[in-house]
Amino acid sequence: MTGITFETIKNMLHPGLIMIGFGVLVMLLPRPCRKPLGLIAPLTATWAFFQMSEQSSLTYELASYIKMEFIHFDSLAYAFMLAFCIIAVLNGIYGEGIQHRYECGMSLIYAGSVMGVVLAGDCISLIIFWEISAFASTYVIFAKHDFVSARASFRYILVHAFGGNMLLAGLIVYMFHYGNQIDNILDIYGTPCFWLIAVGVAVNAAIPPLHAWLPDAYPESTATGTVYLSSFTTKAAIYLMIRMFAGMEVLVWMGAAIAIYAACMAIMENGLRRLLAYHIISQLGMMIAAIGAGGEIGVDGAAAHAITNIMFKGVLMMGAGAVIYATGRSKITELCGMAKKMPVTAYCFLISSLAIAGLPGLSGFVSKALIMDALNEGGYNIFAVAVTAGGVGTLLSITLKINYYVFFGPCDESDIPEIERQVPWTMNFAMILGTVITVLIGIFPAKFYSIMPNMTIVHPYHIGHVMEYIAIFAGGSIPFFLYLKKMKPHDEISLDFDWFYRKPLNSLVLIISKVIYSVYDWCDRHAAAFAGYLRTHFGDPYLWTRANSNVRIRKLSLENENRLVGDMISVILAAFVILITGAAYIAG
Amino acid sequence: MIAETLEYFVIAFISSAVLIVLSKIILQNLIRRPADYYLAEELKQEEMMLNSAGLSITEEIETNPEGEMTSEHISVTPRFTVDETVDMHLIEREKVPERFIEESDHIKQSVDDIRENANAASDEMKEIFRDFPESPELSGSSETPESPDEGSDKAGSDTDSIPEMDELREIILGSAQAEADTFETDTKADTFETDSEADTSETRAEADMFEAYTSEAELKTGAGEAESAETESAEAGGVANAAEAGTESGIAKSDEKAGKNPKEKKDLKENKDTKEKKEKKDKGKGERKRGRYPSIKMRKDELLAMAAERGIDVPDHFTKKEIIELINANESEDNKSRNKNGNNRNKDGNNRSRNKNNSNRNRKKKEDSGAKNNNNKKNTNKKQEQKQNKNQKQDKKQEK
Repeated sequence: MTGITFETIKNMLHPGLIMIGFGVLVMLLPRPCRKPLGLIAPLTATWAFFQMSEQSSLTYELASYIKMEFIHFDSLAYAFMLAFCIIAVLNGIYGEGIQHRYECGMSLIYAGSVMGVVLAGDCISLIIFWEISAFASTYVIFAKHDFVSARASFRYILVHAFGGNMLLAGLIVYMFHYGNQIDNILDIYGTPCFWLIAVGVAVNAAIPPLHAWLPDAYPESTATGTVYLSSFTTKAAIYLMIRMFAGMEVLVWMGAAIAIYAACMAIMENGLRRLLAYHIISQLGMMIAAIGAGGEIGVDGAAAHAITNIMFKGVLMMGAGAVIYATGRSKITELCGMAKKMPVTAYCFLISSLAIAGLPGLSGFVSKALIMDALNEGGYNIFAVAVTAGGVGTLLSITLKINYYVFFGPCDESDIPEIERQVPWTMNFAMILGTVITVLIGIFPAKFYSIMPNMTIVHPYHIGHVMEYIAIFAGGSIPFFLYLKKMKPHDEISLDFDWFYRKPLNSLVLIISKVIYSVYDWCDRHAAAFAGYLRTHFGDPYLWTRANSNVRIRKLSLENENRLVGDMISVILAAFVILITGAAYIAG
Repeated sequence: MIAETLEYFVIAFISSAVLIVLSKIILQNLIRRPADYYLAEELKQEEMMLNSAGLSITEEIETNPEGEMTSEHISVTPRFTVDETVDMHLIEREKVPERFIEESDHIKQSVDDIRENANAASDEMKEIFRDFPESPELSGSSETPESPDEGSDKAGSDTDSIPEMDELREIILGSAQAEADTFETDTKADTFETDSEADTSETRAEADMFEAYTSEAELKTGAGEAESAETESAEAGGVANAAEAGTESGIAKSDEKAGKNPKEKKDLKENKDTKEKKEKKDKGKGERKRGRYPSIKMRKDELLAMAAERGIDVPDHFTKKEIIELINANESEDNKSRNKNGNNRNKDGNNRSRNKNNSNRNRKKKEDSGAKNNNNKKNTNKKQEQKQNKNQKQDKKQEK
């Protein structure tokens, strides 16, 4: 009996809700509780995750025909949940010494809500967790509490409110016609509901031209906040795309274009985290291409790259955050020779940057192998080359550019920035753990593939494939050193699609608000005067005739009566108002 | 395998070179902007929004040499304090209350500084509020005449600059005149007195309402003008009665002198009144338009003319703002020099002039009280007679 009860409770454990609960607790309890709870929360969620099975179920019946399914546990959810739990633990360790209470609480809520999205078995619970994640992530961006982060978070919430509403509208129509379950929606391709859902998901998946919020907002958060952000929102969108859009051919060329476009933008960037943000988009392009290729290998490729990306991009963001935390500088032009002062950070960053470029022996190589196989098997050879070119862009901008100019390049001792704050050991420890996981995935690919939804097995370590990547590394690196002077970053920014809503749209809104305000102001001013006029003139109706012809009026008609002209006028006016009101009432 | 490796090598080399050229040469020239490209404008917008938060008319408000925040049309006046931490100010646009502004501590501090500079004690701000329509110059720089005769010209010119006050006075006087005329014609024509009596009582109420305003204006106007004499008599007590008596006696006297029909006289007087009103209005508008104080709303040539009037050389390249600053600086220097020369505009300048106003008013009242008492007596006698007549007529009616 006791065993059955325990089994029931075990099956109802929801890691996402646990994280959200801990997040609320962290915000409510006194400050000293933040540190332990910030770490206990992801550990508990991870424990709950490992307790889950396909029998796990948590449902709530809204009505006889609507059921909310908070836990829908399958192999795809398992793969993503595993990655989210691991990165949540790493983030908990990383932010242990540097997070504020509310930031920590909201980060936990944000992570928990994204887990809720992954586990959601129906459209209603999906949209609920989706919206919670949007608002929680807005606070995570705002957590830095400066002018730039405030503005960035405002733009972020506007874009995500648009995306969220699109998704909500699409899901409502979808539920009305096709039911509450989350399924592949390619069957309804071209319907308004399809496009609404597509736009809603595309915003979160940062598909150009709806991507500009990502490099705009992510770099403006705190060190820990950026790591959280880079791990969750976009990956949840990729998860949903796998569920709903797998096999949509148009995504193949879109993905390839995104990979190249974002790589180009990253090469131009000077901001450390902004550059990495563009690389999130570039890597998302590769995942989207794999989703477009479809099939078991395509889905596995997208899922595998999402998971490896969570790991190495997490470490890269942690490294960038550590450098910014220690030096207070975030621009590549302001940094150099950091490997001498922050060796742990430098080497973890180097390994992860090699992993993202696909160096054999590391996790990126393993997941990219699946993507390339999916594209080649689907006959998308040209797009495979484009994706390779995108990978070369990654090599140029992260592996070579950041490592050369920030960590390992030639630099005078005097030019090396001073360490203003020592990086806590927890930050280094989290980076080391993440790097180890990246290496382990690269060393044991079979184990990694086995946790994929379709358990597709490829053999990435055959000599041809290894040589391909070595050739890519060599071929991609030579132009970098040839154009070394050109590659030097400049303290400038590059315009992106956010220009449209930060300049012309902003001006339009300002003009509209000025017009509205002018009208309001005019009404405000004149309403007071008008009210005053009415007050005095109704209070003393004699005033109506005082100004000009009251004498004449009195002489003409009313002088023989023992009453005031004003009284007469007020009575006539009142009668007129009553008549008009009555007529309007009857007509209405 | 080697061919495949070479193929990938070439692909990687070409794509790397293309990406570098694309991003570092082509796109660099198209989409690269200064680092503060967005930030500068956002900060500017933020500043603009903060400046206009709760007060869209900040630009129009200036600080005159006396330190009070004012402009041609807008005044900001301290009204009352809440818990000594928040001050409430009333903003008026052309004397129409527009909105309240809540002033928090740190702003209050700066306003206090302004008050100190303006040499106006905070407990007198209420008075300043009431005095505001008289324009700062009246309360400050222009001297109140020692005797009505001496100062009539000066004060008269000063009141001209207050079209609103003139309008108010005209309205009251016009109304009183009209009532008196009506009364006169009514009584002459032997119509119903009850009506006219009711009207006069109303006139009294009106006159009472605006007495506060006219009392200020009348002081400046002096005793020379017939209208102000009427208003003074109204102020002395029995406002409407005095107005009636004044107008009646005035008309009667002038009738005697000119030997004209009273109706024609009345029309002539009305025409004269309207002409005077128009002139004063135009003058007032002109004054308002021209501006006693330089305002950013004025045209540059007007500002230059104003500067020239004050003997200030203004370089051609000066902007409107700079010209205004120059004029203000010049005025403040003038004030300082006046203070040094033993002028009343010292620390208690406003106070003293106000006290002088009050003392003058009292003195005037005392001087006029004798004549007014006589007038009052005459009025009461007349009234008694009228009442008796009325009673008799009513009795006759009842008998009928």
